[in-house]
Amino acid sequence: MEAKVITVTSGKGGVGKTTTTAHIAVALARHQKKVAVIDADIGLRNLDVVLGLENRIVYDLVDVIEGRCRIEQALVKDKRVERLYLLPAAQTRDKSAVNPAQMVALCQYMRPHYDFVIVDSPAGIEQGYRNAVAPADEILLVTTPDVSAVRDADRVIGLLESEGKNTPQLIVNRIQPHMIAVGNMLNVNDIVSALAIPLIGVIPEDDNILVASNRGAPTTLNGRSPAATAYHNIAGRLLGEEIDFIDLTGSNKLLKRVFRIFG
Amino acid sequence: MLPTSINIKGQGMHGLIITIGPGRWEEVLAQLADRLGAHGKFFREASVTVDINGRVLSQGQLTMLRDLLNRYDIVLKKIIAEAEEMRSIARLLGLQVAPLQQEQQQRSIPPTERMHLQWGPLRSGQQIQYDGNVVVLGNVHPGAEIIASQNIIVWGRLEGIARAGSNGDMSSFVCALALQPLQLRIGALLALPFDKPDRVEKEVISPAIAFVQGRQIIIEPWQLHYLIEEHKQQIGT
Repeated sequence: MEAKVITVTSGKGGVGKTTTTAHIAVALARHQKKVAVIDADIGLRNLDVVLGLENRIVYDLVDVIEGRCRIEQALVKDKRVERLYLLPAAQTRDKSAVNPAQMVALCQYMRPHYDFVIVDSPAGIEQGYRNAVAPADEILLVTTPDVSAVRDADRVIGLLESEGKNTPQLIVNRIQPHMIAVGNMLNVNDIVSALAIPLIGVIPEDDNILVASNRGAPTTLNGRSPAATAYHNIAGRLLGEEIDFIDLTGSNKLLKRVFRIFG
Repeated sequence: MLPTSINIKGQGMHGLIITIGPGRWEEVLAQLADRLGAHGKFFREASVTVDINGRVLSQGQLTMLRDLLNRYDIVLKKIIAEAEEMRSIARLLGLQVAPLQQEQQQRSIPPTERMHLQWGPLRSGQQIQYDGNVVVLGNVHPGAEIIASQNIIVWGRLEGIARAGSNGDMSSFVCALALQPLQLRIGALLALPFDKPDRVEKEVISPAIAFVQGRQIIIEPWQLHYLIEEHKQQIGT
């Protein structure tokens, strides 16, 4: 086994990095892949809550880095889905407790044992972000359909470029087709052409996600909600499957068809 | 004007490049020693290229330079020289000889003729600063910045900040396939875009050029028969 290290980042906060990390990790595990997720948001850890593993943390990322325990001791194994492991962030420290070289070394150590190592990046472009991005083979850039999130995403792409990283792949989160239809929301095509990077997923706004996060049970565990399907599709694309994008453009399909007939 | 005749700068993969300006060789070497001394061990184990400003040095003079650098643990690797005489002396000492650096060749071209070609997109937070003309093939995103002492040409959508004629040249222009900058400056003048209407039904975008007329920045659609030279004469710059 030689794991692919994938970092989920965004620049702007609150666009859904942690939710995305949790859902994709669960989806990949359900595709029979062995997955480890690392919460790199030291001091503001959330991934454990979203995954519902909060009460089982004994050791954390900083304990591993500082040699107080072995990685295997710190990894929390999910009981609902096999092959899913969480390396939680420390809550009592801050981003400076870890440096990029240590993250690279940690992921290097984990690579032989997993199919995927997914790193949840903190918001921002400072040390925490650099720690998260350093070990990445691939980067998933999450944005929402609002101008400030797209601007921040653009900034991050520029930074990744200057660090010589692979071009990130884009996830557009929290799309509301009815708002796009009336022209009150950036549509996916606008965002993709503004950022000029490949798209790997479009997630519709979905009330189930909030409920799932609060309960610590990602919808990809067993749900059939629209967002769950979209996350499963991303997992499929990461595994190399060709999956069509769900049409969330909000455009009038019937009208389109009429045009096609006459056009 | 003493310390200005020596310029030390890092050069990516090639280590250091030391440019030695005009002056008597012995004096110049003394200055170099001061500079290196002031930086302590900072340049240690660097390998350097030295530009001797077209001088023709004797073997002894060149050896002095090499020994001086050695004292600071710096290896003299390459000499930039033009004269064949100088080149053969450098080779005698086992040094590489480089032709004029591209940058220096560029330096002899006046800024009005000089061009920097940039492949886009230029993203938020990225900046180009150039003493000459800047051409971008691709889009310039909001938050990106181009500062040119001459003209700026964007074969794409310009949405960032563009500053042409940054040395005060009011005859500079900015043109783009879609000219929608956050801010546009030419010379000392500043233009801000009109406030966007709440909803743009169907944006009509056409290539445009921005230039100075009177004391104002004018933005005009690009005409196929547009001739810059003619235009410059018209506005009398």
